[in-house]
Amino acid sequence: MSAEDANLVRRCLKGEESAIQALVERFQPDVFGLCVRLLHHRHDAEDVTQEVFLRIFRSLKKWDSTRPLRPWIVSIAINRCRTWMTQRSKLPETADYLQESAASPPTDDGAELVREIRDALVELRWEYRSVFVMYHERGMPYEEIAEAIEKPIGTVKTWLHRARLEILDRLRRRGMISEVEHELP
Amino acid sequence: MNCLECRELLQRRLDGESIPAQTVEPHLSQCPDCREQHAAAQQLLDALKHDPTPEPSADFAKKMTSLIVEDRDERHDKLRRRVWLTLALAASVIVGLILAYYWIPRPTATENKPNPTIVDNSKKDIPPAPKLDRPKEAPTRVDVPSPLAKLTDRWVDTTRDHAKVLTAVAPLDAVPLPEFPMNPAVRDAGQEVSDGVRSVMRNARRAFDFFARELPMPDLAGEKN
Ligand SMILES: [Zn+2]
Repeated sequence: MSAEDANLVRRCLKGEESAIQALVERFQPDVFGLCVRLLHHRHDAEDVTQEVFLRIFRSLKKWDSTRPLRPWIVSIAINRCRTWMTQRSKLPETADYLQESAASPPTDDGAELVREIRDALVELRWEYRSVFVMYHERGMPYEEIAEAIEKPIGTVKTWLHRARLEILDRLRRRGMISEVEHELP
Repeated sequence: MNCLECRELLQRRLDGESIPAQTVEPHLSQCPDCREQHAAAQQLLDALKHDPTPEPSADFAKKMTSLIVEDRDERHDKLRRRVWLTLALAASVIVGLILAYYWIPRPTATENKPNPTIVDNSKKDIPPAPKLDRPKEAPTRVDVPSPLAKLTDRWVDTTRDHAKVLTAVAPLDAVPLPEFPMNPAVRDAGQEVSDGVRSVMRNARRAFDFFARELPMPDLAGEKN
């Protein structure tokens, strides 16, 4: 995978448009997925995804080809989302924004649970939230997350465990646990 | 097994590790708190599985590619412009230095002349200019064959000739002023303006003399020959 990534990057640096599109297609689920979950806002996520890809291609020369490409790209996305969140927190929230950021009204218990999880996610500390999204939404292994956020794997595990416990506590407090089940897969 | 160990197993299960049910079952059957937490974890995993992450619009990659290409071209243009501008600036500085080297005259060592005064400062109202120590190697005006110096000489001569002719033909004191009935207040005001202008002129003249003393003089003896 790494050699394939390196080859793709080399073609991008040569200016091959097909390679550029291939790289975007390859990483857009990760970048957009992270943005939409971290920002909790689809429109903002599209804007930030665009910015992230522009930044990726502007600094593609700086990528160290001996290291994996995905964590590098994810780190740019995470940093950009964080900056966006900081800037957004300084702006007064508009009614339009709140309307769009709110999830669609629940149609059943499952949808309500999903909404509750999303709301719980937004309330988490930034570090916990990003690690949770990388692990549970993007399926990134601990090693890649550690590489992306430049922290030891132990720190990643601690943050992820705390994120899970906080979400579970919230679900229990809100009475979202329908019935007690013992079995886990 | 205690609650702490049970939670550790819960985390490992959430990590995707397979934990045999009989390992946690005895504790869960006795501990409602851990039981509820395990149930919540199961529901969390199910909910995440059934809520796939949204995807960007179908033509996103295509649009993004054109944006990236556009951005790259724009940055290349900007860089090219900056390089050309830097080169042009560097070239003009070099040309300027070369021209300055060939065009600016260098002073030659010549005999130092005493500095004659331009005006007669024996008059009481004009104080003599302070004596300044002139550097021995100061160039005289002759050493600077500037067209400006020649032009100034010509103006001075012409103005002097005109003044001589005018004062001979009509001495200023002899020019009669027109006799008009005049408001005395206006006449006094005119007098004050005249006095004021005269004093400004006198000071201007002093200032000019002060600086004129320091101007190098032509080699008069040489010019006569
Ligand atoms: Zn317990």
